[in-house]
Amino acid sequence: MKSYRFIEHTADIAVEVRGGRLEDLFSNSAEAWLETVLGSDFIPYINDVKDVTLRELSSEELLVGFLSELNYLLFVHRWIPARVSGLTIEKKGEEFLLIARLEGEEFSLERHSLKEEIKAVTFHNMNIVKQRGEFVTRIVFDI
Amino acid sequence: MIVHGIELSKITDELWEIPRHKEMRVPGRIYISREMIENGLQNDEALNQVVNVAHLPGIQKYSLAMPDIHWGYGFPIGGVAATDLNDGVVSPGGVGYDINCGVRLLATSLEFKPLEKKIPKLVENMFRNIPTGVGASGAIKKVSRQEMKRILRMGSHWAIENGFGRDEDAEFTEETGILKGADPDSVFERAIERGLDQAGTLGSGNHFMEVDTVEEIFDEDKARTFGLFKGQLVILIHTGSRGLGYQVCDDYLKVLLKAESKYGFRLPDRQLACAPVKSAEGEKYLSAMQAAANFAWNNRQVIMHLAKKSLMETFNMSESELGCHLIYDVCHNIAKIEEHEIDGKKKKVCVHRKGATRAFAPGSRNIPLRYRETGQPVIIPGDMGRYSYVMAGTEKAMEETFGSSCHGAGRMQSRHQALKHAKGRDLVAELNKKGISIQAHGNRTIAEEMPEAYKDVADVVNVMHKAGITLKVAKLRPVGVIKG
Repeated sequence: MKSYRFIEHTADIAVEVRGGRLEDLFSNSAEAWLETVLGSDFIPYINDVKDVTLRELSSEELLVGFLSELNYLLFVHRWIPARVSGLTIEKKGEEFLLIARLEGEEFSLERHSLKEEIKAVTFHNMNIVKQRGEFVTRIVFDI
Repeated sequence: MIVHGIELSKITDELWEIPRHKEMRVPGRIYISREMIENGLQNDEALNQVVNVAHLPGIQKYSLAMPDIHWGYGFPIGGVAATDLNDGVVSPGGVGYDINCGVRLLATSLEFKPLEKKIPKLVENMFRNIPTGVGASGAIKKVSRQEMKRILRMGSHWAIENGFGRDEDAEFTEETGILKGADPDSVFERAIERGLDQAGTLGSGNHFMEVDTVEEIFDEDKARTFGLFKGQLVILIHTGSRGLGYQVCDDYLKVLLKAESKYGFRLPDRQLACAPVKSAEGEKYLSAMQAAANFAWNNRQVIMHLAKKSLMETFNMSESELGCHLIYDVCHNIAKIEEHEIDGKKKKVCVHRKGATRAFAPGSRNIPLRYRETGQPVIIPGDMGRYSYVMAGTEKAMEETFGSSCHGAGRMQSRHQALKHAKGRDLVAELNKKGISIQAHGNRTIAEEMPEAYKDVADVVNVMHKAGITLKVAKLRPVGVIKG
């Protein structure tokens, strides 16, 4: 079963994501993002990696920051972050620190087709909570 | 009446108030009809958002909303709020991600009827000449970073200087197509990168370009002054600041989220993050937002040039034979420092218009001389199958809405619902049958943007007309559409 489901939304795209650990919630959110922008038929051909490090004051800001990073790589650098590996999140003092490795490939119009352009990952209704032993949140993409 | 848990009291048939309660600093006021409340607002969080906006420090008079009100991020779409320059705030949530998303209306001196058969070819040429769709790029040669900074400073004047239009086009653009406070150095590197190859691109989603014919004139005198006549062929362009604007909004939401705690603000929604207008953070956001607004004006100017080129190619006419003139270019996602009368005194305020159009009255110094007797043209696009409107600003708008009006129809169905309703139908054939040619990147876009997915813009426009905020001048009917 998928760890995310798309929810009806009048103007944009909303998704509810789950994950056993906070790290899983983030990886699953990345999968939901990928399906939003490239569709469910996309098959990655991984030939490159990029590392990301992010620091934010709350887990919500960290999640928005992380997904915004994926969006930036795709829409500006034309690079598809297709898979997330070795993602860790640590609380360091006031801050949350995220380190992750992104595996992916160059985007090319000959081989790929974009399904949606996400303008931004929003904070709307975003609230990471624990429900029945799982982390859950809603994410709304402005398209 | 109680809607979505919020009390609404009727002031007139077209104006409803949310009384001040809890920590609201001002009441909410919504221009809307009873039918529109009952049919559209019952399941929408938009009224909550009107209440949230009323919490903004320094907000003046009312948290306002226009009849096309619907749910947005932070502010509702259709939201208008003016804040005091000294103790008020500026919020990117009051502008939106697509900074200076707007519409421009280009008139030709041609009649539609004799050219009717050539419209499909025109639409084809426009679709070829103007980059559209998700991640569209490359309308003009990719600009260098240095050149990009000039675009951000100069707005549509950059395009004109580089051969994409005529000097008089700037005069018929809101703010003459340039906000002079723009500082490209306030725009973060990522936003610049995101915009580098997007100048002159239409983009995706609800952005479009339309070939219209003037179907009905409501006010002959004003229409004549605007340069509109029945049966005329006109071009409507709807787009904004593309990736650059989205990124400016995104970057500054993060900056202002941090400022919020610094200044001790407590707002009900993170998307309302704000900073005092006169703070380092507020000023920096405003100058970056102005730079993005300039990018959008440049964008619409380039697209208009490409549209003219398509007209010349298709009809085999020279520019003077086409007799083109820009009627007006209006923005509907912006924050601007303007002077308005508040409690009998002239006062400078920061007017946020999020999905709302400036609608200045006759006599305003900020509109072209040609429109000083009619009021500013206010261009209200509808959906691609029905109609759009041209209205004119009034003194009542100055008195009641900080010179603002509605901006469009607003979605009624989600994209998913629209796709479901489109199943088994040939929407292109349906549109063709109605005399509308269409070009888009795939059938999915057409299905998502089909007419039934939108509210009837006539309902929206009629509320504004009856309320006397903006008055109807002309109705346009689409005959050709290109979609992103």
